[in-house]
Amino acid sequence: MSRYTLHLVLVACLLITVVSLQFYLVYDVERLKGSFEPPIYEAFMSQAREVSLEEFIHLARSHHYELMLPTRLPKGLTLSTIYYKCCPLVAIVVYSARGVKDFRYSELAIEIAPNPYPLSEEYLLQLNRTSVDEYVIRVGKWYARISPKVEFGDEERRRIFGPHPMAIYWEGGLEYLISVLPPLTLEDLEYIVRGLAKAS
Amino acid sequence: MRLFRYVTVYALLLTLAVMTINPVYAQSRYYAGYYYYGYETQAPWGVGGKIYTIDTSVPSGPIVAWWVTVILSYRYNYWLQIGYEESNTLLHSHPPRYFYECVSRLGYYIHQNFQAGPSAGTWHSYQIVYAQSIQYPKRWILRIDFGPYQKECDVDPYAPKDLQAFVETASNSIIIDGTHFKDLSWYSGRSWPLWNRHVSRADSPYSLIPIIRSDCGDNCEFRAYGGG
Repeated sequence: MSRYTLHLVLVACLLITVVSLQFYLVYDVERLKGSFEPPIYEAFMSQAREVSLEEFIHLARSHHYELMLPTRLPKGLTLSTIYYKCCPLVAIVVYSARGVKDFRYSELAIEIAPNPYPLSEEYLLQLNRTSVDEYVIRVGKWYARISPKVEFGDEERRRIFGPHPMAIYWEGGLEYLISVLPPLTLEDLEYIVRGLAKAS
Repeated sequence: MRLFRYVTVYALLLTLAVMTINPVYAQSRYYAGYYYYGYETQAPWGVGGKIYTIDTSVPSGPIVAWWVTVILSYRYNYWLQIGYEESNTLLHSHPPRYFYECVSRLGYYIHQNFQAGPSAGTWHSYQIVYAQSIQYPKRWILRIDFGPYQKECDVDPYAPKDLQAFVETASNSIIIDGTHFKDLSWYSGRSWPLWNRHVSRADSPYSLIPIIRSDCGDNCEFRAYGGG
């Protein structure tokens, strides 16, 4: 008798577990969908190539762009690589103190692409009065918007890095997305952004 | 000892049940479609295309979606997307539904569904276009069939980096036969020229058939099939 009872209990447990899992799935469909996303990294890497700094400057000039790059870096940080893709033109300049070349995980990366429609000066200046999540600093002839707490679009890196600082700078038809990851800080980001100058 | 044996059998059955019910947890993503590849250095400020609606047999758990996308950042994985999707579980099956996604530093709005969906066997137009608003410079418009279903999204960074058009599945058991994209176009600021260059991608077991046309070569229309 006890043998059958044990069988019945186990089968009942199994059924309950399976049904519960299914109900969980029904309500969890939205979470499952959360991992749907376009192939962004693969798209870039399948079309980009690594170039030297000299070649990058030359390529940019051939499209009539003058590059702005950091003249100073936080201690230990060096240029790891530059990825260049055309067309549309998108370049990612990767810096790391650990030799990281993967722009998704490097401590500093600058994503550069053309943007012929920058935000107006009036719009930018009013941000310091009205915005709660970004502020504006003057850099050279124009302004950089700095957001102290930004998160990645993918779940994995949101979990690993959490909120971190990012700056958006525009000059001469190019937009620069400048972001730092730990151990670099907001102060490091401002230090980098204030040191942007024409690359030669 | 007997109890140990029963528990072992129970654990095995449970594992089998979980694997049967939910293949999505062990899944990858599969893509078939086109990356935009232009002649200009600047990314277009809009993407459009017509997508044929199929009602495929979606196994329990996995989902499938057909969409067009504007990439906003490669470093950050930010994008805008509109299309239709199908999903299913053992207890609930969802017919094709329209959806959109806006992912940027201003928010992570994924798989937002419109209260409607396309009927199998019909063509629908999907567009994402920069709003060109002085008051709202970070605004984009995502629309289906030129207006009946429309959503405005404020995103930052707001400048486009690239375009894509794909069918995406969460399991290679999903059959996508009948998938058909056409009139893939980009926004020039005044008109919608057809894509004139592309890079294709089809993950096994899926395949692409580029359609050759007189007005865009094989760059603005394709079929996809496979899976199962």
